[in-house]
Amino acid sequence: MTEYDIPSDLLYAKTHEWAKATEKEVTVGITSYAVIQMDKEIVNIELPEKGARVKKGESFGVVDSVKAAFDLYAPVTGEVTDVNKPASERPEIVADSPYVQGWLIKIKMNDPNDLNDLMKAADYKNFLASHE
Amino acid sequence: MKRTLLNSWHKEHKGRMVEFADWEMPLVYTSISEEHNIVRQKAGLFDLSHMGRIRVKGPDRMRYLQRLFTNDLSELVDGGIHYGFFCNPQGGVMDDVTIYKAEDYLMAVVNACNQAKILNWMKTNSSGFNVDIEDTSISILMLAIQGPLSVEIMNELADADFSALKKYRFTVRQIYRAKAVVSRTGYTGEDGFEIYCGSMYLPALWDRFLDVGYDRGLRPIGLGARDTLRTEACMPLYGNELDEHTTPVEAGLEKFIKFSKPDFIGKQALTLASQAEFSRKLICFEMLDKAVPRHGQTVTFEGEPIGRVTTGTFSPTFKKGVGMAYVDQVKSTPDTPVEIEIHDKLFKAVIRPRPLYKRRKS
Repeated sequence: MTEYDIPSDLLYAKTHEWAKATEKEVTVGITSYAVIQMDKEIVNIELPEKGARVKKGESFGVVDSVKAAFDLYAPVTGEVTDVNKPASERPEIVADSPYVQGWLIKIKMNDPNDLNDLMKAADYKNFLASHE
Repeated sequence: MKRTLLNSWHKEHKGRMVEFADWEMPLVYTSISEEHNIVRQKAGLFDLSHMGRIRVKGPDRMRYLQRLFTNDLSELVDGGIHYGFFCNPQGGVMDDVTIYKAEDYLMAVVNACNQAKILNWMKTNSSGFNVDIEDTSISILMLAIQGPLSVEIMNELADADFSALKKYRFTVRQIYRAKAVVSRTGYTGEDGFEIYCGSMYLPALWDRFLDVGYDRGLRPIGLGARDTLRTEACMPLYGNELDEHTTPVEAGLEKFIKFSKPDFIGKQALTLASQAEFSRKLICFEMLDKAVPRHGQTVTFEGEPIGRVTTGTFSPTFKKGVGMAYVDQVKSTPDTPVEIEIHDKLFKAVIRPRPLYKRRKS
C-alpha cells in the first residue's frame, strides 16, 4: 500500500479535493492522491472566474493529465472569492505542491454545515486504503 | 487478464499496470511526458508481446493474402514489409496490419484487440487456398526500440551494422542469444526497430538491451507514451481512427490500397468510397486555446458541428493539446479554423497538415 501525504489539519472529499476552512472562507485544492493518479503530471487546469457561483458536489473545473481529464467538485456551496492564477498558468505548481502553492480556489460559504459532510484526515486515509 | 513474460519486470520497475485489449500492460513507469521525450531525444524500449503475430505458410500463401490485404504484396522482395488493411466487403477496416515477406512464409502482425477476430477471419477466408495459418503470438514475442539512438544501441548489442537496413525491410540476425527477425519499423514517428524472437529468449534480450543502452539513455516506455508518440506522428489507432465502419479512404490512407491489383475483399466498396464526393476525412489539429481535447468530443466550424475527435491528448513535444478527428470533407483542409467542444465550451483549434510531428532526417 502506498503512503500518501494527507495533512491532518484539512478536510477531504471522496472526489479527492481538500478544503481548509476559516470562519467564512474555504480554500480548495486537490490531494496528493489525486496528483499521483495523474501520474504526477498535470498539464492543464481550468478554473472558474472570481465571483462565479459553485455548488456543493458539482463540477467547478477540470484538471488534465496527459492522457485524461478529471473533474473538480466543489466541497461547499458559495461564491468564488479568489482563484490561484499562477497555478492555472503553470499547472506543475499543483503537482509539486498540492496543499500549499497549488491551492485552486477560495469559496465564500453559504452554509458552514456543508463542511460536516467532508472527511477528516484519518477517515480519508482509511477511505484510500479501502480503495487500494 | 493475459500477462506478458515481462509482467513481473514491469511491476518491479514501478510500471503502473492497466488493462489493454485483455492484457495487463505498463501504462507508465515514470511520467508520460518524460518517457515521450526520451523516445524523441534518445531511445525507448517497448514490450509488444501483446500484439498478434500470425504466420502463413503453404504454396498459395501469396495469392491468399493478396485476396485479404489491400496493399500489393507482389511488390515485395524477400525481407520486405507492407502496411495495409484487412477490410470487410463494405470496405470497413477489420484491422490495420503489417505483412512481412520471408522466403518461405508471410507473417501478419495484427493489433492485440483484433488478434482473435483476425485469426478467425483469416481461417474463414482460407477455403480453396492451400495455406497453413499458424498463430505464433505466444511462441514468438516482440519488442521495439525506438528513437534516434536505436541504431547505435542495436549495433553494439548485435555486433552488426543495422544502419544500412532500409525502412520497412527486415533481416534475420543473431541478436544476443536469439535468432531474431529485426525490422526497421515502428509506431512512434522515430527511427527504430521491431524485434521478434522465440519467447524463451525475450526476457534475457530485454535485460540485455537495457544493459547495453542504459548509459546512453535507453529506458522502458509504457503504453501512455506510445499513444502520445503515435498521435503526434498522426498514425491511426484501431478502435479510435479505424473500425469496421470506417474505410481507409476516409482515414486518408489510400496509398495503402492498390486498386490496380487483382480482386481483394472490399475492393469494390473502396473504389466507390475513393470516388465519393461528400464524406468525412481524418484530419489532425492543434489547439490554439489552452485546453486538452479528448476522444469523442465534437468538432465545430463557426459553432456548427462538423465532426468528432477520435484521439485527443496533451502533446509533450508541442506542449499543447493536439488530436485527430473525422470532419466533413469540405471543411478538412489544413489551416481551417475549428473549435473543439470541451466541457460545454468551445475552444479554438486549427487543422494542420499531417503529420504534426516529423523527425529530422539524420
